Amino acid sequence: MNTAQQEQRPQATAERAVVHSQTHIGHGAAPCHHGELLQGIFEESNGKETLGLVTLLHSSAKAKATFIPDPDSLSLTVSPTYKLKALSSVKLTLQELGLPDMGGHLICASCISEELGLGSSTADVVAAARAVCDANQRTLSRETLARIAVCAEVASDPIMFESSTVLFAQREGHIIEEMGPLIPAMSLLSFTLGEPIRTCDYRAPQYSWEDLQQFKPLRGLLRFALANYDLATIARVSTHSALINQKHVPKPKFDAVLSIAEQGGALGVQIAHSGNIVGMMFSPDDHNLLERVSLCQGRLADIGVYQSAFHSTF
Amino acid sequence: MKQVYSSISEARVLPELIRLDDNLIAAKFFLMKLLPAKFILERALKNGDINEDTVVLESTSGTFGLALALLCNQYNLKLILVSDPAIDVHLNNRLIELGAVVDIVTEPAAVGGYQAVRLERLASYRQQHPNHFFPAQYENKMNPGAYAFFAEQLISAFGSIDILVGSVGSGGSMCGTLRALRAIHPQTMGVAVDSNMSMLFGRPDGGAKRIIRGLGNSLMPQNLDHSVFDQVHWLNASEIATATRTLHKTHGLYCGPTSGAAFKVARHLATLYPEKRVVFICADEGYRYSETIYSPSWWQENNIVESERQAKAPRCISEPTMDVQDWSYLPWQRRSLAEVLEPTSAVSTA
Repeated sequence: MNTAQQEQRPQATAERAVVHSQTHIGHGAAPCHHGELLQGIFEESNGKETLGLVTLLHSSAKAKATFIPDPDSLSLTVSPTYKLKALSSVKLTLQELGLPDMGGHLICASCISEELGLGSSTADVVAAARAVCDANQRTLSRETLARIAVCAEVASDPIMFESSTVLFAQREGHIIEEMGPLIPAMSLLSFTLGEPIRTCDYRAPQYSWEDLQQFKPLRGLLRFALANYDLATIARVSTHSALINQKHVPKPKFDAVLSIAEQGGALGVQIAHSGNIVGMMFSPDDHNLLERVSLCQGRLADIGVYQSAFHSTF
Repeated sequence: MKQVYSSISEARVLPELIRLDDNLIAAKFFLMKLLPAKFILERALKNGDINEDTVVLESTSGTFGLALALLCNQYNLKLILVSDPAIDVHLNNRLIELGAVVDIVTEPAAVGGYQAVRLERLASYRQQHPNHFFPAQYENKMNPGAYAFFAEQLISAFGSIDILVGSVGSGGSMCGTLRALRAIHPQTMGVAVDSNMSMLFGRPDGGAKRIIRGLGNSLMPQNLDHSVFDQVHWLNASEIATATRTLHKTHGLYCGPTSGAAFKVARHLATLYPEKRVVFICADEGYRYSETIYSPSWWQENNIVESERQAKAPRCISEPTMDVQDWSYLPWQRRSLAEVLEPTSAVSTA
């Protein structure tokens, strides 16, 4: 805020203060995700074939955003300055709220590693939108947030849906199917394979009709597994989805990782289809959990994967 | 779940799943061939392989033709079906009412019978209409491919199924469903049911003596992949007709003979393996058969008998060519037809 300007235009400042009397500093947060359980091409109820995915939400790491409305300014700024997608989310959210002229400053604070496919930029975008809403004491539906996220980015994971599991059209920003309740909690051994992929560089595979048909039984199985809170079956779905993905966007050492998971007693493997993060999925109720995990960690080191982290999605 | 559908083909494309016993489930289609016909035609429309002037051509005397007629009616497409005198008059009327041109060949060829003449006629139509589309259910990989929809439905409902039983005609439904199920559950057992007058699984062709239509064939369809089956069962006409009526009498399911045949084998396996979940396919409804399977006079004319002596369980045979007239089965063990017919040579080359 420029003090000199303020002194020159006391009248204008007073008017803006009235307009923005409902605003205060707004806060927003959004979870990241740990890649996907399922990603491919799916038929919508109208027969259209759409790229879609089911995200594995990971609430322990969050992006936070603070929006400070500035009644004296028409401009919007962000820090750190490179978070341009978050800034564009602020603009889109203000438009959606009917406040296209509001100025202000957005501060992003995120502990999510970028470019691993953890949805760091989507989390910033959603946190920013929520911060803007909070500043104006308004709320937007999950569907509208999803649309804003897809507009602000090219593709977005559905991290704004935190109460159910959805099959989401990541490039169009709508739900293809409400799949069922939230994914049950699991323990994850996570690591990376290959180089990071930037969301904007990722090109969706060209799926044939055979590919299209391959995803059908998987979609059915995920529906069944969610309805039955069946983590082992969910892990089968994600392993299959990762295997199909290998044909299109192969991850190095994936076969070795699969056999380590199998021999080490993991339920399955899940990946970031457009990133390089990989997770071995374990049941949190497993009595031998820690032994299994350290066994897998050792075997991973044997194939050159030295860094891995063990955590839970709950 | 949708409450209002946009067309008959959308409303009735997937079967109803009906539990007949703890571990015995009927997958009852309205008209199973709608599934491949819809998939093949709609993909061709999407890809631009069909435009408003395209003529759809197929050789059929059965339910695939009816499915095509329903869809071509819905999408306003011209349809020419080449058939033979075996087509029943009610189906013929229905096809014509839906707007199809039905060309019935009258004289069988000296070699290859009606089938040869039909294919010849079809070839001339293809030449006559350069802008044509030929769904080719017997060789089109999209026929089996379409059954991923059905596999999704089964997996969504049950998670997994242990045994799938169905009659085989083009090979599309059984091979396609099994492949899609096994992508996730490779151990799912596949059981084929055939007529003992059919050559599909290595028996001599009974030709016109195969009085029950819908299962079995006199020609080998390219879409039949023998190596997906764990067991193959053969039934005679009396056994098929009786089982079809039993399905109606005991469960109220009024279906065609392919359903009855599958039911007989599925019920047997469900009793034998009470811990296994058995699903069998009912491919069509019974109305087309009211003057045959469901008619006492047809039973008399064709010497169909509901004999007390009908086998309660199948006889296990080791070669398809063994002369067995009653219910029999062969542990097929996912072998090719050649491997089953000449087990020794297959072993020696292996």
